[in-house]
Parts: sequence; structure tokens; C-alpha cells
Amino acid sequence: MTLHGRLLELNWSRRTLLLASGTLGVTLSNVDRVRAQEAKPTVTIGSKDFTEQILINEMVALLLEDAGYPVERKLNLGTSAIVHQALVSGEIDAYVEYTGTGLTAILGLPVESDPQAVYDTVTAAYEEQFGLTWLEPLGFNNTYALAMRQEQADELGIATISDLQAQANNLRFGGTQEFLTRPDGLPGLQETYDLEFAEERGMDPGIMYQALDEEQVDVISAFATDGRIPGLGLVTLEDDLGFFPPYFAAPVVREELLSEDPAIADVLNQLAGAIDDQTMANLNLQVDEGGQEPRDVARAFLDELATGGVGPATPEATPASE
Amino acid sequence: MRYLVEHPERVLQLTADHVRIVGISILVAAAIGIPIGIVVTRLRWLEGPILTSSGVLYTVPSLALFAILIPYTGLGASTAIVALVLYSLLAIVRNTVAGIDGVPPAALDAARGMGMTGRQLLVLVELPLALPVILAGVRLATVAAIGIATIAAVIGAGGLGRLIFDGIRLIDPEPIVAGTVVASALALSADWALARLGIVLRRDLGRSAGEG
Amino acid sequence: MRGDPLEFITYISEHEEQFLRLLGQHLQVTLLSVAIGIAIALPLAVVVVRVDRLAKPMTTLANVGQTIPSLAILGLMLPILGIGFLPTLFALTIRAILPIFLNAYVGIRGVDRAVVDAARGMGTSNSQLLLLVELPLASPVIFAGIQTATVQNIGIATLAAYIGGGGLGDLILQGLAMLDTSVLLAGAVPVALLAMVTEIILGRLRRVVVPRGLQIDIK
Repeated sequence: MTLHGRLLELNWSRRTLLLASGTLGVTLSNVDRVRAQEAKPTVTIGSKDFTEQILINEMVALLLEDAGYPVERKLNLGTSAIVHQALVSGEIDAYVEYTGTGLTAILGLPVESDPQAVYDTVTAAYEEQFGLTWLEPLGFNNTYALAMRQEQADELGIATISDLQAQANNLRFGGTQEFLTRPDGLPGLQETYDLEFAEERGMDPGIMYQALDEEQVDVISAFATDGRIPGLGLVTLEDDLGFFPPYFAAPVVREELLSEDPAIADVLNQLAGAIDDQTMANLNLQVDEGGQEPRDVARAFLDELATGGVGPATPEATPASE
Repeated sequence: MRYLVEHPERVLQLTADHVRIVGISILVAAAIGIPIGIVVTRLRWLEGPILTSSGVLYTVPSLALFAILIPYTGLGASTAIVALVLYSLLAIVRNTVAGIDGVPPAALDAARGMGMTGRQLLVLVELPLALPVILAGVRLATVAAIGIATIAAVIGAGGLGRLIFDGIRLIDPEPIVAGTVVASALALSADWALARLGIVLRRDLGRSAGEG
Repeated sequence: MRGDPLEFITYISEHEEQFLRLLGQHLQVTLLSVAIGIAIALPLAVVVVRVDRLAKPMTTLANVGQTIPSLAILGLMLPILGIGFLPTLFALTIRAILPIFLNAYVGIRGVDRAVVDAARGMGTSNSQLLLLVELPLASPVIFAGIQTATVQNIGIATLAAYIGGGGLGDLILQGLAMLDTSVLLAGAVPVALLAMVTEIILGRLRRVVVPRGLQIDIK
């Protein structure tokens, strides 16, 4: 056996031990696993650079490993455009993307608000332009949302993005560098709502929330499924003009890989509809505030999913916004 | 330090990435830079343009250089390696030139007197005597490259910078400290090891010179 | 990657206001960090030269400090100084102190003892010795340290874009985010030019500032 094979085997005997002590009833023996694996293609999984992406793509990686595929992880690669580029060039084979991001940031198409229409559009266009297949949506919609501190929003009487218009020139905006340039980000938002902020600051996705909490900015481009919104007492503003498209998450896979091994689609579609907004927010919070490792959170969730024990919300987590 | 204890595999993996990127870069830079340095000592008019252009390259900020290279070399380790090679050239070329220039004329005369050809002179006399100085250039380049490689995480090249970005993302000092400690330790040990190697080389050269 | 490489010039001219604002932020934080760096590192070097037992620990500290990635300093300051200008200035100042201190220390230490003894023989006081003999004689090396710090900090200031500190790094990261070459180069090319031009200008300035007769070529 090659060294690589030996390493895989070592890896797998450890995993089998873990599995045996866990709740998943896996019956394949160690030897069967290694054998099954040798026949299956290696799948490289990527992700963008924020918690939810790392978490959800870790789930994809773990599911494939559980099904006996050798997996290479290239998580935390960067922004949407970067990960998409990696997928098109074949550097990675799959990652979870959001329909609205595919529609506007990748394809450069105008915003649409009907979730099914957006899904159909991106599915067809990705197929045609890139040879990429969108699998079934996972269930949650991680839309962009503008968030403010609850007290300040109340004080200024701001509940919708339209309410911002009159006061934006006194408010400081913070967002990811990606949001500051995306067509479905600040440029489009400013045009739709006629906004001009006093200051616009770009920063890493992770630190926006703290910047808002510590009053270093007043409005941020939050992710709707970020558990820190309720956690820090933030409020999201209603997108009353319907600017943001829906952003339902779904795995995008290279067609080549799927035609080589169509069973991969079935493996990943186990996640179809399995995660709602609330669940995703709770999972994110376990990493962002609970300090847990994405892989551990993903593992625990998959184990629960396998035993049918996935409830709406785990008791220790804070409920997500409305 | 807790992070190091709790996630030894990840730290090890990223350290391996880091060492690989820096190692390849330095080897390639030496493979290109030493011959360039040799050529410069033979064709003196090249000295100005080559040292100035590598000096100018050295001032280009790393994030900017990575960014400028991406359209050509893509995202990932290859861009990081190209950038690190470009940065490392200055120290290696400059020291190769200085090292060969510093070979005592007496040694050259003696070698010529023994009837050595130009190539023999280079391989048997000039390069061995210049080696400690060339090595000092490699040492400077290596220590700098270990630091610059942390920024390569931005373009998906992996390495210890990943831990620092993780820490920024989570506003958690633990991974940052872990990444920093390992990167510093790498730089300091590379510095120390190459310095030791230089001392050993000098001593050996001194000895063989004494014998000869 | 989208776009023709030279399109960045069009991008800059179309976003002139934004570009100048970012350039201003970039210059401001770089220059301020070097100024504070000088104010801290020079006196420190003078003290360390005088107090011999500080020499070893301080130079070791500075050498080890040089190996700490700038990004790590930025990240570690986030919980303490928050985001934006302040942590950026802090990280850049630390980065400026190291080369200026090391160069000043080496420069002052390297002043010929015979010259110092001669000056003392003429009855110069400690402060006169420092101002009239040691600092002028060490000035080429000190100035080289300032030059290194400034050019290096122009580069490091690009990292401020990760923590809301602004500067030309914003354009680099936005270009990276969208894989849009024109935006990316609108940040990267000016930063690179700024660093090169600064290197050249400070190199020239060194010839003006450093007393004639002490002018040596330092790389």
C-alpha cells in the first residue's frame, strides 16, 4: 500500500473510533471503508471567509466523508468571486453558494425577488456558462440586512431602510469590502434608497458586529442568519423597497464530477431543506459566541440529523431575530 | 498558547504549508539569483540596472504585489511563491555579487597560476569562498519571506497567516497568538540555523585556506 | 478576472474623490506613525547606548519584534483599541520603532570612540556630546532606519483595510473581493509607486540632511 493509502487508513481508523462512540449507526467496517474510498473520486470542498460558510461547507465535507469519499478541504478561501473562480477553474469541486449572490454578484443580472425564479435563473445560467450544477437548497435564506444598535434605531425612529435616508449623512456605515463594491451591496442600495452616509468603512466580516456594538459605526451590512444580531441587541432594518434578492443557500458542484459519480448529488441532497433560518443562526452562534470549532458544530448537527433529532432550536442558544 | 495545545493538527498543517511556500520560494530565488549574481560579476554594466530593479521590486508592498500578480498567476500558493521569489532576489543577487567581489585577488592569482579555466575558477575558488556571504543573503531573504508569507493567506495560499485571519474574524487573540508565536519561532530558528551554517562554513574555509 | 489591466487609470479618474480620500488616509497614518516612531525610538536608543545592561535585552527584543507579522499586531489590538484608525496607527508605530531604534543604536554605538574621547577632552558636556558629536556622526545610519520604516509602513498600511482603517488597501481588497482587476490595481499600483517614490525621495533627502563628509552609501 502506498504511503498515501496508509495515511488515509490511519485517518479512517480514528474516524471509525469516533463514529463508534457517537450516535451514527455506521455498519461499514474499517476495511470496507478504505476499499470503498479507493474507488471514489476525491472531492475538494471550498468556502468563503465567514463563519456560516466554513460551517456549512464543513457539513458538506463531513457528509461526503461519511459516504466514503476522500475529501480535501480548502475552506476560508475568500470572497464570493474568489471561491467562484476557484470552482470554475477546478481548484475546488463544490461549495455552498447563495442564490442571490449567484444572480447579482456572479452573473451580474438584475435583482429578482421571487425565490423560485432566482433559483431557476441561476441554475440555468450556471449550467450554461460555467458547467456548474446547483443542488437542492438547504432551507435557509441568508439575506443581507442593514443592522443598527436597538437603542439608536429607536432613538432616531428608524425601522426601515427608507427611514435611514433623512439621517444617513449623520451615520457611519461599516461593511465588508465585498459589500462596499457588490452591485447588490452598497452601490445598489445607495441608488435604490438615495442614501449618502457620513463615512463608509470596509472591514473583515467578523469584526463588523463588534464595531457596531462599540459604537464605532452606526449601520452595518449584517447577514440575516448571523446569531450575533440578537446576541448583541441589534435590530435589522426592513428592506421596504425590496432591494435585496433572496439568498437561499445550496451546494454548487462541478458537472464533470457529478457525471463521474452521480451519487454525490444524493449525498449532498441529504441536507435539502434541513436547515431553517433559525437553526442556521443558532449554529453560527455556537461558533461565533460559543467559541466552538466549526467542524465540531457541523459534526454534532449531522449526527442529530442522522438520528432525526434536529429540533427547531437548541435551548442554550439565543433565538434569532423575529 | 491554549490554541496551540487544543489544535495541534491544524497548527502543524498550516506550519507545513508555510514552510513549503517559503522553502520553495527561497530555493527558486537562489536558483535564479545566484546565477544572476555571477553574470553581474562578469558583465559589470548589468550591475546598476539589475540591483536597482530588484531594489525597486523590494519596495513594492506585499499586498500590492500579490494583487498585481493575481491576473497572471491566479489565486493560491503559486502567486505567493512568485511574489516571495521576487522579494528574495534582491538579497541573494546583491550578496552573490558582494561575495564574489570579496574573494581575495591573491586566491584568484594563485588559481590562475595553477592553470585553472574560467569555469574551474568559478566553481572551485570563487563560489566556495563567496558562499558565506551568499548564505547571509539567503538568511536575510528567508527571515523576510517567513513574515511576508503570513499575508499570502489573503489570496488563499494557506500558511500561518490563516490563523491570524481566523483570530481577526472571531476577534479572538488565541489563534493570532498561536500564528504569531509559530511564525516568529520559524523566523528565529531559520535565522539561527543559517547563521550557524555560515559560521561553520567560514571556519571550514578558514581551515582549508590555512592548510592550502 | 475581469477588465483590461490599464482600466485602473479610468477607475481612478472616475472615482477621484474616493481615491484622494483613501490616499489621504494612507499618507496620514503612515507619516504619523513614523513621526511617533522617531519620537519614541531615538530617545530610547540614546538611553540604551548609555545604559549598557539594557543593550542586550533591548536589541534582542527589537530583533524578535521584527519577526512578529504586522497583521498579528493589528489583530491583537482589536479587542483593546477597537477598529479603524487607532489600532492601525498603533501597529504601524510599533513597526516604525523597531528599525529606527536598531539603526539609531547601531549608529550611535558605531561612533568612533577616539572622536568621543577627543570631544570629552575638550570638555563637552553629555548633552553637547550627544547633539554635536554622536547624533550628527550617526545620522546616516539613523536616517536609513527612518527611510526603511517609512517605505515599509506604506506597505503595511494597506492591511488597515481589514479592520476599517481605510487607506488604499480598501481598493485592493475590494478589487480582490470582486476579482475586478481595475479596482485592485487602482489600489495596488499607486501604493507600489508611493513606496518607490518615497524610497527615492528619502534617499535624496538623506544627502541633504546628513552632513557632507559623512555621506556613505547605505542600502
